[in-house]
Amino acid sequence: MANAEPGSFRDRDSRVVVADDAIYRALSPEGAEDWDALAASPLLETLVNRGDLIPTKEVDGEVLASSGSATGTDLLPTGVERVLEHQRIPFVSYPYEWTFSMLRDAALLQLDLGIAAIDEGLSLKDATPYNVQFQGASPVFIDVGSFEKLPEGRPWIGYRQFCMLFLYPLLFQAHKDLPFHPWLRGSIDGIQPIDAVKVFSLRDRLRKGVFLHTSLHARLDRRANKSGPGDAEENAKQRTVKPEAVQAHMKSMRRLVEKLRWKSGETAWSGYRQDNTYSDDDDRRKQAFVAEVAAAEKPGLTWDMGCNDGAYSRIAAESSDLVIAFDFDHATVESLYRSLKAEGNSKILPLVSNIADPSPALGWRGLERQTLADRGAPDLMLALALIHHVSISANIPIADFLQWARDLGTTLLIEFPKRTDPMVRALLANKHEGANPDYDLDNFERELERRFTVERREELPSGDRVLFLAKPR
Amino acid sequence: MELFAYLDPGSASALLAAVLAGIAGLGAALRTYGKNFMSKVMFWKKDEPVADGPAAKATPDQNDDKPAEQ
Repeated sequence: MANAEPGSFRDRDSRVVVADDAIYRALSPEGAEDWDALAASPLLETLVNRGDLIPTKEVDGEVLASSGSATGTDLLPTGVERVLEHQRIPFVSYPYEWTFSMLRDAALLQLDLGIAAIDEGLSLKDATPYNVQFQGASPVFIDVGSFEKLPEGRPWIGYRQFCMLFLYPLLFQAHKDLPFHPWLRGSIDGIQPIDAVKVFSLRDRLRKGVFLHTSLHARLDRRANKSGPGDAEENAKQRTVKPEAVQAHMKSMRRLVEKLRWKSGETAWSGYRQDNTYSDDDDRRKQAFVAEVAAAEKPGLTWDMGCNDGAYSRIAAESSDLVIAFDFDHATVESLYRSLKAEGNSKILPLVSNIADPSPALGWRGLERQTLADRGAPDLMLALALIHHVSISANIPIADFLQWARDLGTTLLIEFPKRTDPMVRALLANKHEGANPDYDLDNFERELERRFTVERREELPSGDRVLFLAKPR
Repeated sequence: MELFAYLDPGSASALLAAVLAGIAGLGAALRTYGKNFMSKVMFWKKDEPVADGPAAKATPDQNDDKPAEQ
């Protein structure tokens, strides 16, 4: 059964359809003309070969009907003229889950494609991070429908959107060490200029990107709001802009973005393993356990919850199709992304996520952005050095956590640090006597057995931690 | 001139974008003319190829003269 992608409705010339085994894009007559222009240029092949653009081909329009999708004017107002098929991205992610460098690399990709398009008499209709997905640690542009024939005389139409969804989040992180994730998660269209400007001080105006793109931008916005839509539209229409000038504008933005740095994210190994209380023996046994399980299970999708420096993600990646490496700490994941990117790793996707407050469904009808589980429940979940943080720090009952894992239907590889473990004692030290009574090995095993079949149980040499391999009942 | 496909560029933003394009474009043009001029004046120096156009297509020219990155 195929469904029109709920998040793909704004552009009346292009609509994504998700079938069981394929991703299609329906094009209107106008959309088809734009596609023809892209396909006729050398740009399509160059970008696909370089891994910058998602591989795309034309297919028979019949696929829509035969996959059970809506067709014709039920799908697009002016009907469906052409259908494309895209290679599937194994796991969709969103900019409020990315690290600073991931957002920055996506921004650079958006700009590079916009710049290259102009040389071929093409243009991009918009400038949003939702045009970009990650394959492992590599950004790829997926919105082929964004390409259009270059209408002469226009300035960069995506400039405002680029500021709201790319530039301001990056500036917040780079100049103010202010995490951008809540802003992007909280506002599907991004940050308005008149709001962004409030974050910066007078002195900040000297910083790159602030005066022109934020302060001045906000001032013009306020003026336009007062004077009403008519005047500014007239104004804009009178200004014809040469494509080379638009390109120069994009290039100058590219130089700005390229220079942005998040200093806290660069200190080496802020991601140093917090729970470094192991003996070498414990470490070795744990690594072997993970490797054995992964090799036996051969999971399609693995989630490594609380991935830290990614050591276990890497082990799991040897036997998985894809590993999603989640951690709560932005700097940690940023370090991991930088390593993966330097290696050209395409099997591990690092994401920032709070297990106790994961990404919700967002947007129109709550359908435009999906929850993590809806995007791909894992075949194997690693929960190493995790449960004590979830249970003692986040106060989530053990039974609830295990029920959540059970409901995902995933094979669970979980490590339980006993109450005697130094890290657990440290977490409990701040609490009253007898806190978290459910945090107890016997109770844990009971709750685990109720929901899972325990296939393997191994106490680590130090005696403080126990590993379990559990399959959902 | 048709303004936009589906995305509202924002009237103030379109104005600013037009202005910034003008400045950036001027900077780029000046640099090209500057190169041509200097290569004619400094005839004793080896001529460098002017790096605009299709050759610079896929990789943005890092040396373009900027209006401030501000």
